[in-house]
Amino acid sequence: MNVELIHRLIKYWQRSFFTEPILLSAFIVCFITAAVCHHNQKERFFFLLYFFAGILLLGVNSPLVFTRIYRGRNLAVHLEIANTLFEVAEFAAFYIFFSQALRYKVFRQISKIFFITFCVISLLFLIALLFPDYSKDNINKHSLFVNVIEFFFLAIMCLTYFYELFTHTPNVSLLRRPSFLITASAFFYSVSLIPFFMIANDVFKNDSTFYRILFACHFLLLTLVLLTLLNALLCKDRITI
Amino acid sequence: MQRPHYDIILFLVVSTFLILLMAGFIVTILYLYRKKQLLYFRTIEELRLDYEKSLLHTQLEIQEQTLQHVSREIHDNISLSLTLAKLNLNTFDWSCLSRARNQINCSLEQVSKAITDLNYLSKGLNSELIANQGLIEVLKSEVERIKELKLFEMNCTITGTAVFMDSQKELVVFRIIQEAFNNIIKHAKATIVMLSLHYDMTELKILITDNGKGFSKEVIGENKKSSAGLNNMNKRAKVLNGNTIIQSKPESGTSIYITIPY
Repeated sequence: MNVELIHRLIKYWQRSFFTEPILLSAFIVCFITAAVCHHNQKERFFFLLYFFAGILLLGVNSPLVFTRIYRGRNLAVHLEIANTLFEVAEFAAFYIFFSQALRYKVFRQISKIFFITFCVISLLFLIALLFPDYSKDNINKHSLFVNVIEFFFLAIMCLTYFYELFTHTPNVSLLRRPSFLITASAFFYSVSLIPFFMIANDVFKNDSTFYRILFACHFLLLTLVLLTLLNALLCKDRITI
Repeated sequence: MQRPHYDIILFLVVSTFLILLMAGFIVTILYLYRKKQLLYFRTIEELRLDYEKSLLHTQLEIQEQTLQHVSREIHDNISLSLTLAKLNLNTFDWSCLSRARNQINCSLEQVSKAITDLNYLSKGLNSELIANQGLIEVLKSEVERIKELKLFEMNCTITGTAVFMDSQKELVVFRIIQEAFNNIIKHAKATIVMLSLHYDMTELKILITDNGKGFSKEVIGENKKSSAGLNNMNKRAKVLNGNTIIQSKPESGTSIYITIPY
């Protein structure tokens, strides 16, 4: 039985070209680093929660799929609950980061509006999952829509940060500023994935192999973001500098 | 089957274009920021050079004025005292003992006065004292010396936690205060002079007040020599990013308020 489960796990990971275990390892390393290096800073603590949510997501989702405990719509509901909670944790971590890194009040207020809007949308989606009439197709479609909203908001917050860069005294090199590294990787990640999530459902229906390739790219991009966050967390300075 | 392949190809093209666009965007930001940083460092360097130039110019001005002051003091006081002493000794009357004694005593007084004036002059000129003792100690010594002249009553108060600035900066501050004292001694005819130093969080505040005859700013403006002295004080304070406010009315005394940031 155990051998069969391991075989199923390996086959499941093979579908994403083994990028999922790489991503899971990255989350674990980042979590340990954030736990050791959080220095009582609010923004580091919320990233710690984000990494923990990532470990839970990959740690929960994979067994749900390859053990086949749930199937069909039930599986989709459980996966989407975990996924949505992860997205909320992810967006919350970046929102707290930008609320400390951004100096203009207007931009901070825009970030706050985005955060509240995203939380409301996520909550509505989670409530809708409880309805039995909510079809699997719609669940997949709307889940991707929530992802697009998240990355769109994140991209705009990154742009406000880039705008602010040129309004302040340039006495520190950009590549030495943890906040720049985090924002650049988050910007790259969010803008790259917006088109993917917009058409993911259609791609999945037409070409599942290509869909798996794109999802593997998604995991690799997220791993890159985590490595940048790790680099920033290892700095002794505040990560919002 | 053609349509899905077409969509995938279109998606790949659009994604590649987007990724290249974003990479170009990040590189552009890095380039523009670096350009701004280099301009900022260049501006800082220019400001620093300007400041050093102004400070050097001010120091040379102070040295020039000090030499002129020395020349005047030597000519007006020390030379006169020694000349009187020499005259007394030249006209020494060997025949009358009491008169000779008076002449010797008078010469001794003149020579002592010349020595005292020289000591006063040398201590007031010695800029190394600032580097060794700091502004507060040198000011206290200066106040004591002026009190010994018994021209007026002088009080000095120092409040706040003392901040030790660069010795060159303290020297310029000392010269500004010394200029104010010299003006009071020469022109004010005051009976009470107050010097107050307050060390704030960010700046040193100096207040010099006297109850002398005061002056009208219009009259001083017409007199180039007098206005030059006041303008020098203001200029030297500005070199140190400070400010000088001079308030005076005829027969109502004068107040000089100087602020020097650390």
